[in-house]
Formats: sequence, C-alpha cells, structure tokens
Amino acid sequence: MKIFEIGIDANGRSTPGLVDVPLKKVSDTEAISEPQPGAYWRVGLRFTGQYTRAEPDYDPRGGTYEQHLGGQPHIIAWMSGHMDNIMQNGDTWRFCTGDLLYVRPGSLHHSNLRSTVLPTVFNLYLPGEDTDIGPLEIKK
Amino acid sequence: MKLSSLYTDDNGDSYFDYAESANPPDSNKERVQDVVHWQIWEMQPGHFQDFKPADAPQCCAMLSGKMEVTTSTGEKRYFARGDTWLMQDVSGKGHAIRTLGWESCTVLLVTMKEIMTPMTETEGRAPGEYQQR
Repeated sequence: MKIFEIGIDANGRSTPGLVDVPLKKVSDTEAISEPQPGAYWRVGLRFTGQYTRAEPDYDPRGGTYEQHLGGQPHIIAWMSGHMDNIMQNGDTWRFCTGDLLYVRPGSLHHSNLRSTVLPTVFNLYLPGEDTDIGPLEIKK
Repeated sequence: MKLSSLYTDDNGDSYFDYAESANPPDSNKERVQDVVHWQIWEMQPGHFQDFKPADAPQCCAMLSGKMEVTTSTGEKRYFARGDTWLMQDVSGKGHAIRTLGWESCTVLLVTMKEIMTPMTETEGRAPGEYQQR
C-alpha cells in the first residue's frame, strides 16, 4: 500500500511523494504490514478556514504565505474534514477522511484547513528528530 | 473526544466502554499515548475473525470500509472510515470482527505500551492525572 508523503526533492525543496508500505497476506481475506517503530499518538480537533486562496479575505492562521517545516517525523491519518497542503514545487494536495500522509522532517509546506467540517486528525509520531530529513525507512 | 474501547470484565467477558482522548477530559488538549509499533491492516469483503482477545492494547484508525465488532456478550458496534476505536480486551473471551459491504477495510493499527483507562474508572479524577507530554 502506498501512503502520501510531503517529501523533499534533490534540491531540498518539498515535493509530493509516496511511501510504499508492503502488506503480507496472512489469510485469504487479510493482509498486514510488518510492525514499524512508533513513538506516540494523539488525536485532536483542528480549526477550519473560511475562504479559499482565491478569495481576498483569505487569511489562514499564520498568514497567506506562511510555510512551516515538517517537524518531528509523523504520519497524519485524516479522520474528518480536509486540508490543502501547498508544497515548494507549487503542487497543492488535498487530504481528507481516510487519507494517510507522512510528513517528512525538513519539508517546508503551507497548510490551509479549508473545510466546513471540523477537521479531526490522528497524529502518529515516529522515532527521530525534526532534523532527520532522510527518507522514511519501512521494514519490508 | 470519547473513543469506543473494548475491555475485559472480571468474568472474562469483553465489553465496550469509552476512553477519553483529551487531557483533561472534555478539553481541546490532546492526550498522548506511547506506541510500541504501527501497522497497516487490510481486510477484504467477507472477512471474519472469530472470538479472540487483542494481542496487546491497540488503537484502530479506520481509513476505509466498515466493520462490525461483537463482544462476547453479544453487543455489536460498527466502525467505518474516519472512526477511531480501541481494542483493549487483552485477556478473556475476546471479540469477533466481520467486514461489511463491498469495500476493503483498511486500518492504521497502532500497538500501545499501556491500556487507556475506561472513562467509568476515571470519572472524578483531577486534571493532570493522565499522562501528560
């Protein structure tokens, strides 16, 4: 299974990517991945944005042009609502309920919680520091 | 936020209660739970798992599909994409799982270090008695 990634290209700029998490069949109707190391999880509510980027009053928390780094390595599972992430190559990805997103440390991106539904996120933090900008290693 | 959670009673029967994901309860501060490991778990339509306890306290974030979870006393709860629930019946008779519908059921399965206390045992606790990070 492939999960989304806010990755980093060869020039250190954030760019969309995918991380492959292979699943192993354990019965005719069931497959599961190898256990991958984790640190802690927490689930929480997020605020909503009122305007799209094209509207003059667009002003997300942090400002229109705010960008932030990936921080400690973490995976976000979107449980409700949606969010637009803009990366340095100009791509915008919209994540919504059921999406899994790996945020790589050092990946500079803009976040806009453009959702009329209150967003809920399941944040799974992984071992490592916000300076570990290498790719996520997945046990096969 | 209240998360549905399976527990085991003194008779070995599994039952549903709730665990609080905020610290203090009903606040917007997020309670942190330590993790042993995480996996992606996929079940096809028609999958059935007979009664067995959870291997360890686990948290399920539902990414797709729908499942029915049955306790040993016959109570059923249904979980679908966007739901988060806990399998914490680590002993006793366990629970059964069945997928519903024609969509594969995909779960982010997170194994935790400790069981999250049921709300019925935490009522009346002072804020800060939960683990805080």
